[in-house]
Amino acid sequence: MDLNNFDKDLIDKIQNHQVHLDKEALWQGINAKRKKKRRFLFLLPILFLGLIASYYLANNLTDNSKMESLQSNVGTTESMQKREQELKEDRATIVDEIQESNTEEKSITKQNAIQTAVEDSDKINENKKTENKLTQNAQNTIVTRSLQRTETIEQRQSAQPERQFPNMEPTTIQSIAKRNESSVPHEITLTSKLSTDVPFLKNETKTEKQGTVLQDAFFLKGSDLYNLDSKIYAYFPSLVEPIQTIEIVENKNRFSLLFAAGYGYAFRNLKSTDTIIEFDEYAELRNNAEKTLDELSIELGLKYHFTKSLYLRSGMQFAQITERFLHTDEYQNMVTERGVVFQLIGPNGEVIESLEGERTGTQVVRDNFTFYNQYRFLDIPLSIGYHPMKGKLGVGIEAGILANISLNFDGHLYDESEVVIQPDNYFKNRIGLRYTLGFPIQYTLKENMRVFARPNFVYSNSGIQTERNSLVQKYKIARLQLGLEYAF
Amino acid sequence: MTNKQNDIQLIAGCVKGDRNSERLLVDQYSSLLYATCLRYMGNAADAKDVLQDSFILIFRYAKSFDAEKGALKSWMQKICINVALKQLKKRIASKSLDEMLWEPKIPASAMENLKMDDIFSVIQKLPEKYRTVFNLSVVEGYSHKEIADTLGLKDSTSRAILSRAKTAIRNSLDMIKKQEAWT
Repeated sequence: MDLNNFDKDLIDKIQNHQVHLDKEALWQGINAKRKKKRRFLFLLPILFLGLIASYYLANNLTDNSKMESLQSNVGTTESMQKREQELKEDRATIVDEIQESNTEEKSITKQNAIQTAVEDSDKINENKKTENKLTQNAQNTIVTRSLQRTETIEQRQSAQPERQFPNMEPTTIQSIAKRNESSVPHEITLTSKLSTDVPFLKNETKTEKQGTVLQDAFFLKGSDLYNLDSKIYAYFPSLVEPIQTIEIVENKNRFSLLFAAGYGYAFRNLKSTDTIIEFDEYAELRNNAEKTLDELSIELGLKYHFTKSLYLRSGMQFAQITERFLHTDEYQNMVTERGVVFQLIGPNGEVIESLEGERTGTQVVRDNFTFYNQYRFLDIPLSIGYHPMKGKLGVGIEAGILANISLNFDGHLYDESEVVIQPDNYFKNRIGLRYTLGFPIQYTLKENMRVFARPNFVYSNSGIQTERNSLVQKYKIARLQLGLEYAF
Repeated sequence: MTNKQNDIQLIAGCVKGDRNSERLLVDQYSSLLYATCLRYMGNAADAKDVLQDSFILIFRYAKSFDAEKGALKSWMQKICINVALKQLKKRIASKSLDEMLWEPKIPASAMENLKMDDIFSVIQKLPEKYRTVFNLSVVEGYSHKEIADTLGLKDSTSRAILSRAKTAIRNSLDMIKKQEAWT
């Protein structure tokens, strides 16, 4: 046997040589490896669901603890009643003192009057601080608390006919200490809107009354305070008065609808699967001829908001990847010395032109063809996102999976024999999986409307096979989507 | 039922995900494919690993098997070779030139009436690069250009390695023959 020239028989023997092994152990090993790979695939959605569940639970627990905190700030009903009684007693004392002062016709100096007004102002400022504290608590617990009293004196008078309300025009608290002689006694209009959050998702009342906040401020007013001769009287709008019940509110509209359009660039990776080695050259041919251009997408989506910042997004997304296919058709024309053209009629009636005479040379002719191929897909996204809003603007993060359905291919390509074909609409596997990661930037236009820009990256896990061979193409897409979101 | 019909039936079962068909395929072809893997990998542990990966691929891509293009055995062997090459490619690229210049120490002589096991064993014991080039060139019939492309070598290197591999095999077989003559 000459090893420089291995005979076919020996090669056959080598190729068909068998070595015994433990088949049961091999089978177990194969199954173990397969399970390991499958387990990894299942890990992703489990992690994804776990993330949603843990965040949702954590968020709920935090809300409850903050609610307790708010309630402790507000006080219990018993303590409120006790405090109310104390303030009523104080009020009665003050009223008595003033009445006494009036009967004894004691004069009050201008400085005293100003001093009184300043003291009142300090008390009111103190109340403001309390309010601010409550505001902070309220914001922290995603609760909108509204303290508002806007009823006019006429309204209050008619509600409480036994009391004597002076006929005064409303003015602001800040002007009290700086009042000049032309000013008139006034009614305070205390309006504090404690919710400063820009709303996007409307709220609904969950609990109508959590407790009673005691506004232990009172406001002392004098009529024409600078006129020493005038009779001083005081007006107490209300010493002890429930401002309003605290309303615990929750997000009412948890859903929002969105529409987005996007433009991106798709990076294609086309190669032969490693089972059939001879397709590598074909893959190279295809790679050289087809150049990916861009990706266009439109999306109609639905968001479910767990909280104001955390959401789950799904919907439908139509995407089209365009690629340019360049083909050069090269052929040779014969040149003759006579260059006489004559025509023949072919079997199907077609005209065949030919040259007559002896060939003197050849002429290479190249016809360049450009085709624009389109791959169309339907994606069904399932993404989880977190976007904290700072005022009207917010930047978030969003990650998810997309069920990718290949709809159709429209265009030209080379077959394995380098012939340009227009393949039929064939896909080996129409359903695949993609992963996406994005960083949406959102801006609240009005109460329930937002615009957003969403730069994102899509990675195809599964390949697309448009022909009946082992060529698989995978895409990585970098895209920017712009859209509008409407909460309902 | 002919072998071909049996193969088609087995592979159709694998396409459907039928475990019995998969198991039958393993039982029927594992010895042959193991030999192929062993011929490339050179040791049992690596060969078994490659064989397991290959079977997973075979089951997964069963639907791409076309009985008109060739025999199931050849198709599966090709998968094994590709999986093996994938692993070897990394190793070969990182090997030093010393291994390429490996020379057999036993002088060459003629050889006859050798057992297949001896030949197989000699091939298996060749250095990795020699073994791979020899297998691809002589057994699988790849051209030097294809081998060079597959393994990331120059054409001339592939030729040189093949020449040395043949010399090494010849010398090793000669040594075996001499040992048998003494015993």
